[in-house]
Amino acid sequence: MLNIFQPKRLQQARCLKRMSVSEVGDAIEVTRQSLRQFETGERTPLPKNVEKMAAVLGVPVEFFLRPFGKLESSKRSIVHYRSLKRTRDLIREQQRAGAFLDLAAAMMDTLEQHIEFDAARVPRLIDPSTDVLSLDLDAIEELAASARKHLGLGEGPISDVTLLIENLSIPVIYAPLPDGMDGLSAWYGDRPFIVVSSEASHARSRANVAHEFGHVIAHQEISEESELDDETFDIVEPQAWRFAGAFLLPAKSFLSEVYSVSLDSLLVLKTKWGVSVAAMIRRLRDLGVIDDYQFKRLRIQLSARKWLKVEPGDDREREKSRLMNRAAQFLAENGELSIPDLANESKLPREFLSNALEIPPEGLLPPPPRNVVQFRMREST
Amino acid sequence: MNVKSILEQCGLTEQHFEFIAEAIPAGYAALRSIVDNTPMLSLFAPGSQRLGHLRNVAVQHALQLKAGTTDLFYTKDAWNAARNHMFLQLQCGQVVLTAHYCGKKGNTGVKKAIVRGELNQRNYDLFEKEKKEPDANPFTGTAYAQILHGGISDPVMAAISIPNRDQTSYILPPFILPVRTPQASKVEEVKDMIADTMKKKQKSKQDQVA
Repeated sequence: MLNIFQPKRLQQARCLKRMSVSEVGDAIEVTRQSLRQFETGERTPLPKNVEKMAAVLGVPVEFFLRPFGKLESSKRSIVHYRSLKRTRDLIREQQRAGAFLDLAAAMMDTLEQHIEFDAARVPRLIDPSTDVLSLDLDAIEELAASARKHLGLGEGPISDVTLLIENLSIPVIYAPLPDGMDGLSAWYGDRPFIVVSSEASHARSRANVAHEFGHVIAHQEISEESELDDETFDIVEPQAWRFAGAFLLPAKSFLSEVYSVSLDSLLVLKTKWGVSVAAMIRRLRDLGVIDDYQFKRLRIQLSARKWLKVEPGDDREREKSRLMNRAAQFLAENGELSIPDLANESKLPREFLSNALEIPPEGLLPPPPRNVVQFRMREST
Repeated sequence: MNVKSILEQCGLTEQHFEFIAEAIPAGYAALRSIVDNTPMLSLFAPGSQRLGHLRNVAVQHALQLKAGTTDLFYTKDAWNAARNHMFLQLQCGQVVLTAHYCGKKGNTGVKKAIVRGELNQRNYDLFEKEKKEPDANPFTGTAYAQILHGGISDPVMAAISIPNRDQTSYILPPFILPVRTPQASKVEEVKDMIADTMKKKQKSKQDQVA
């Protein structure tokens, strides 16, 4: 295979590092215009510049030469972000998160060189003739109930949401997303990918995964649009939140255990249901158990206790993604490819691989050689 | 003719009775949970002696909570005549119900109250002639009924009665509700089936030659 510089890789690496074209240009001492030309493919950088770019952007040199696989080169749907704000910082963060998704698809391409994955089994629960945007929140509630039934779940709390979704051959990746960006999802061809913040607590990350799963189930057709307008965004985001709430906290069984809407009582339920107190309060409002005034009061109480960002019980270890990790372990155990060899073959940044494979960075390095003969100076007599 | 058939004529259905039968034990369970976690109510005698009052509050709360998730009943917080006591009114069509605690064994009567006398105007047609059997009023569909419950940590009795207009007796025997203790939902254990989603790729002949 020819080693050709891939312009889009430069853009991906830059987005991952949250650097602008001029910042990278300054760091490697080339003009902004030149760098832009490298990114558009009008010019190919010299090898010494590629090395400099790799060093500045924290990726292996081979990353820039990595060709695009089947999945990564298939058409990517729109990415479901949680915000449509267009501040400069947010655009950078969104580009970075989008690059994470691209690399997740790239990693899947690498694994598919050795492993056959089942096609993603996304439950098709919406009649194709139905306009999803016209569905009211009660219909979304029913959709979530149907999804639970389809997946063979009863009415109780779900022990592991990430595992449940990865069992459907849908990769879920935990990555360090910036504050305020809790998760995103997109389709590459027929396979959806979900990326959620690795910094979120156990309870919040479960809600994030369920939220993105809601997008995957309900908004595939919308995802094929070129861009979400504000109006559509204002419909799909509440739909996804409602789906997450109903998926994690089915009305009947959840309410049968809500004896009181005090924060302390809800905290007891948090342990069992794996849902944050804040999300339970929102669910109680959605179900009409509390009104807007009570909701506001409870939010004030949350704030007074400083629970808006960190709640008691948030030190519980978050769920792990397993799909890619298990594939890597599978290859290693079958003697096909060790994990460091897989890391080398993928040519992807170590930091990303560590997140995608749920393996600490040192686990991606080859073991130190054991058969090194030790020399030492002869002692003078 | 019995309480159930009268209420059915006035518009209530099995769903309504089931609603009440589920809410009563849920209220008791809620109170039990609170008491277990509140030493002031579980270990402190002056507190534990007041649980009789709280049982009815708990049942009313459970009724209201449940009404919020179904379209079966409207609820309203109402004052007594002296405005020193609040209670919950459940309403479905022209049928109004109020909840009452009847003691640990469920054999204590419900006290007469002026404000309930007003509600009892709905039963005028039912008991007008003071006969043994009340006249049903399917034309107007109006009735006032009392949800009666009793017990300590779990309800031992749950029933619906239609009081006489003077609130001192019940002509018809109460309609006994089956008490359904709510079961805590079990955690849905997700089985790890990731291994089933992947298999080793068979090398193509070209790969093998290479």
